[in-house]
Amino acid sequence: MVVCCCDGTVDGILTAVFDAWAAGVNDSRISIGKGNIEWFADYIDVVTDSSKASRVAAKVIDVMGYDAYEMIYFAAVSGADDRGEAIFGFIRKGLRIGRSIVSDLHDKYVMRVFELHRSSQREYQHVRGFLRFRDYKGYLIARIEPKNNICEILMQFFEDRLKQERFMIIDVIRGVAGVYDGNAGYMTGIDDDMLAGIRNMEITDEFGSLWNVFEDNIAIKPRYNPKLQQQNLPLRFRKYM
Amino acid sequence: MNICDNLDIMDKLAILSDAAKYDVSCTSSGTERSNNGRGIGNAAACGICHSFASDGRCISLLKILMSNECIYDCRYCVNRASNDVVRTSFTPDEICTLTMEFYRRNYTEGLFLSSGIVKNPTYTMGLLYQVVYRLRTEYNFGGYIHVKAIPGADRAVIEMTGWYADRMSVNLELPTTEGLKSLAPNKNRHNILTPMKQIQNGIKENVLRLNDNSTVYGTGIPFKEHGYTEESLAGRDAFSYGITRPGQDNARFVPAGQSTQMIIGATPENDYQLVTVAEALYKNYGLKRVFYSAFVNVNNDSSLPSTEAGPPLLREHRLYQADWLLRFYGFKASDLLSEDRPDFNVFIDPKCDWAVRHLEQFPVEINKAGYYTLLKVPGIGTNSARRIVNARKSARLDFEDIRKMGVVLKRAVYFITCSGRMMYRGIRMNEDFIVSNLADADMNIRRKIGNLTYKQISFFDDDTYADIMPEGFAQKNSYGVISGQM
Repeated sequence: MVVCCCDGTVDGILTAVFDAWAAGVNDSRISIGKGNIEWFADYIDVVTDSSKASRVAAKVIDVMGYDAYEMIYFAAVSGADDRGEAIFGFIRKGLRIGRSIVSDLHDKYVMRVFELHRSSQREYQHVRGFLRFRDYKGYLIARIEPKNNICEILMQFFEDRLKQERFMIIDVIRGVAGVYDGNAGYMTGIDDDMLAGIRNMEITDEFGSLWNVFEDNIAIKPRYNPKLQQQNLPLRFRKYM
Repeated sequence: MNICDNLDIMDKLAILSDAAKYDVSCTSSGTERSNNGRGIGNAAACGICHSFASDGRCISLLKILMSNECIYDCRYCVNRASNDVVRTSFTPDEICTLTMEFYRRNYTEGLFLSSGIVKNPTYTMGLLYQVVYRLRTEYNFGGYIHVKAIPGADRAVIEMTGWYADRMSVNLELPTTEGLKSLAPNKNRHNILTPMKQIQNGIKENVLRLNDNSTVYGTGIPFKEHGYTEESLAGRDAFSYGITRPGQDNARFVPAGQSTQMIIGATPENDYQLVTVAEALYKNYGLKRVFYSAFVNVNNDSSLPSTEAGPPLLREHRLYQADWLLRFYGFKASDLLSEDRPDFNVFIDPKCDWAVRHLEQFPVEINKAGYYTLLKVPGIGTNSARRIVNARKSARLDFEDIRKMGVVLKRAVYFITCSGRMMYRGIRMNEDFIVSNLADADMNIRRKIGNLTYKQISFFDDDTYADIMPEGFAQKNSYGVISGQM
């Protein structure tokens, strides 16, 4: 048994798929980090290699279709420890049976990828709506604390939407940020000292108070229902709203 | 009328959003559009919720009135001419700035613009047109815009607005002509349905034309060879689109379709009438959505029902459930209700109610039944039905599989088999048994939708009730059906 240990990023997991394939498909596993060390297994430290990752991605899209790749992507950004294992099983079967893999939900790996995809996709859709930018000297700054690593895909969405703006989305849990300067975007890491500052930073924005006036007035008082409000807009999303 | 011109923007926003809140439509769905490269904004087909107000309703658009001045005197409306409230208006620039700045900060998907009737309907519609025109052309706004079409406005200005909006809506307000006559004396059915038909025609023609264009430009075959002449095409334009059409060939007219809204519980219509009207609107006017608004007696008008105990929220909830059944599940209004049985059941949702009355069609075998048969099972929605149909191609499905796919077994379990077996031994295909179990499960739903108590069920009509419910159940629970609250 060969265990490929990767860093858990999307590229890392896809690189691990590449290496695991090279080590023998049926006799290998993928693990995020080291996991529980087993006897009688060889451990390989996978070095994330974006050219290997994009070869795997291209193959997946070609044989299994774009929907399958999207499922893999969203499963890969989820926080679940077994995501590497599930994605490997999914790709192993998918390359054999092709596009119909996305609906083969009886298979345990497919079902697991489907579940992970559903939960991180849901969070992405929530955050896409609940994320708030504050105007700081012409820059739009947003802070998020998502459960899944969705900063990069959020950037893709907002780069199209706010094409002429300069903005920044900061994941204050993982210490990563997406930056867009009005032309191109990139991802960057943020060190802990700076992160603490960002977390506590107060940015006042006059339109924020106008918005609060609107939010208060748009509610119909005889229908007051904070429980329903909290169900639809859980507290964990409100921190930076 | 107390008109204030010297208010600052915050006061205006407070007044004009407060006045707009009884419009329930808040969706931002129906248009998929990428950024045009010049300005700000795009639109997502599924729509995006940006916040939830303290009443639990979604906030997706900046929902405001252009002005709360109104020459009409509709009894149910907070802005009616006879009410003594502060009146004010936004300027087009104020609305554009608010829309742009809120959009930049990701507070909204765009703008929902309505207005009280200032001077006359055509003048008011012209004001709304100015805003959307400038927002799209001067401010380069690419987000979502929903505009009200004002009944009675000149058709030209309605059409002009339609070229810049994503969605338009004309409120039906009340489901019957009599209701409208008594509560909204300045409005009439004809004036409401005319713009609705006009917008429908515009959408149809636009879709047709865009297809025409792709034929023309795609294959190089001119219209003449299809039997059209340039003149006849121009003639058709003038007839159905009125005066202006934006320069681009690919301009789209109301691409997200139109919607409408009805007030529930202000007049004595029953649920059957409401659902039938909604069905006719979907069929004859091609509407995307019909919204239902639980009546709130904002004016404390003594000729209208009191809503001191709270608006009829459960009734509204049941109507929305039925509305979904009409649009996505292949049900007809006459399947759900009838003249003899005109109101929805309080205890179980319309789909369960239907299933219990049609036990001869159940149980359904998950591994064999067709898509539309699966859709009729309580607890199975469009997504899970599609997943089942696809997944069973490669394997036999069991209860655990379909639970993970999203089937709500709590409800479905009485109506399905997997490989010929029911999930539990004790399940009986018996109305009493199923209804009492389903009603217990549904109490959770009741808790979620509001602070609704049994006190709000104003009529206890055991006779009607006995007709609907299986005998055993009726004796066990002596509650009534929620009726028109009149």
